[in-house]
Amino acid sequence: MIDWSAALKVFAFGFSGVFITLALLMLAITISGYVIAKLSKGNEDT
Amino acid sequence: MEVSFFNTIILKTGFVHVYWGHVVMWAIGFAFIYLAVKKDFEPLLLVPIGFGIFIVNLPITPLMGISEGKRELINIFYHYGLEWEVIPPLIFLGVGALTDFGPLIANPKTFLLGAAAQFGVYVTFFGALFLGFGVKEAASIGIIGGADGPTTIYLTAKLAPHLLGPNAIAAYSYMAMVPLIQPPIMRLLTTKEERMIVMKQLRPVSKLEKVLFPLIGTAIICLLVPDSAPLMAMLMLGNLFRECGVVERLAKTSQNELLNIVTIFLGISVGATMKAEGFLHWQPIYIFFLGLVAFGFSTIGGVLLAKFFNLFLKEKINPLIGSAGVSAVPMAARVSQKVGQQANPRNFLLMHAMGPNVAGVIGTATAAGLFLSILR
Repeated sequence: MIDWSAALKVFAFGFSGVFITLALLMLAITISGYVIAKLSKGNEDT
Repeated sequence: MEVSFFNTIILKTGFVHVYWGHVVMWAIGFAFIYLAVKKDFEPLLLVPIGFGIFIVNLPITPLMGISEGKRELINIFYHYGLEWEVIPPLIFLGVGALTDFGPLIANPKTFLLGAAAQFGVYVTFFGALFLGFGVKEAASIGIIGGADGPTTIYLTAKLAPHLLGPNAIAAYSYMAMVPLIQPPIMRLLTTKEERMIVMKQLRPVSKLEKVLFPLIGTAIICLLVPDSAPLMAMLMLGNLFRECGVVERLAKTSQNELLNIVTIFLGISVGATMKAEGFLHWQPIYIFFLGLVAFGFSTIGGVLLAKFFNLFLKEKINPLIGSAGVSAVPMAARVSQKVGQQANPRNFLLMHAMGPNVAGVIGTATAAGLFLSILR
């Protein structure tokens, strides 16, 4: 007997959780890259 | 008296305890060693696994049981290495020290390809449920689709330790077979024009970005999915050793000596879980079938998301790099490169494919952490 409630919870929470986690990581890396590029450009200008 | 003594001696040898199941397992062990030695399939793992299978199926050998209240030799490796969850995180330390996250930092959208390639994990999870496995067992089988041996072992040891042998063997066997499994699926899902897409060279990544990556990565993933911390923290620590540039000795030890030592204990312990009595029935056959399904659907997930990206992107990406989102590093990236070059000999996809490839490692460890947080 398949426990559908648990299975669907695992699927919905699990797969979307992977996407959300990696999307946040993508966002954080994009922002940090942008900030570092700005800062290093600022240093070069001065 | 002499006859009885002789009989006792005979009964104390392994010969009289051998049955057909042992012989089958010896053949499987030899097949693994053959594949490693002759075909160069994951030799660092298949040699100790194959030998582990062989010796644990020599009957009445004091290796994997408990005698006089004490664990026997390989049982000690298994108990403290795998059941105590020490070995998979240490392997991740070495993987982190070996991995250059530069291509991922240079093209962060490939994080999402690594996430999409976990599709096979969840398809297989449902497949395993349909074949009669319990929810925890299904999760441990599904994670094979991530194509990440240490994560498969880590999750299985926690959720379904009785499946450790078949799950680990399926994961490593299919990882070795990535060059055979993926290309037909990649060609089926892409047109020749798509496979010929040339991608712009990646931007250079500064040292500061590379040093910050493991810190940012650890913070975000471990805060969101604390159960993935043992794997992610060690992966990122290894990477910090590599990138910070001031602990070269630690980085080299993590990449070489430590990784080699734990690989020996991992291989022999996993092989030794495959005793004939527990292995020769329907479950491992189903697991091998489901492992193949998992790899297939993970490849499909990565390629299809890359194609979906192309509906919106000005600078198109070659959808072949999506298949590298399964985390078999760097083999899956090499497959993308090879299939890409078959369509366009002047195409160099390797570095572009390394982005989703290493994102896949993070994605699989995250998926394992999420399984643990839901099911434990």
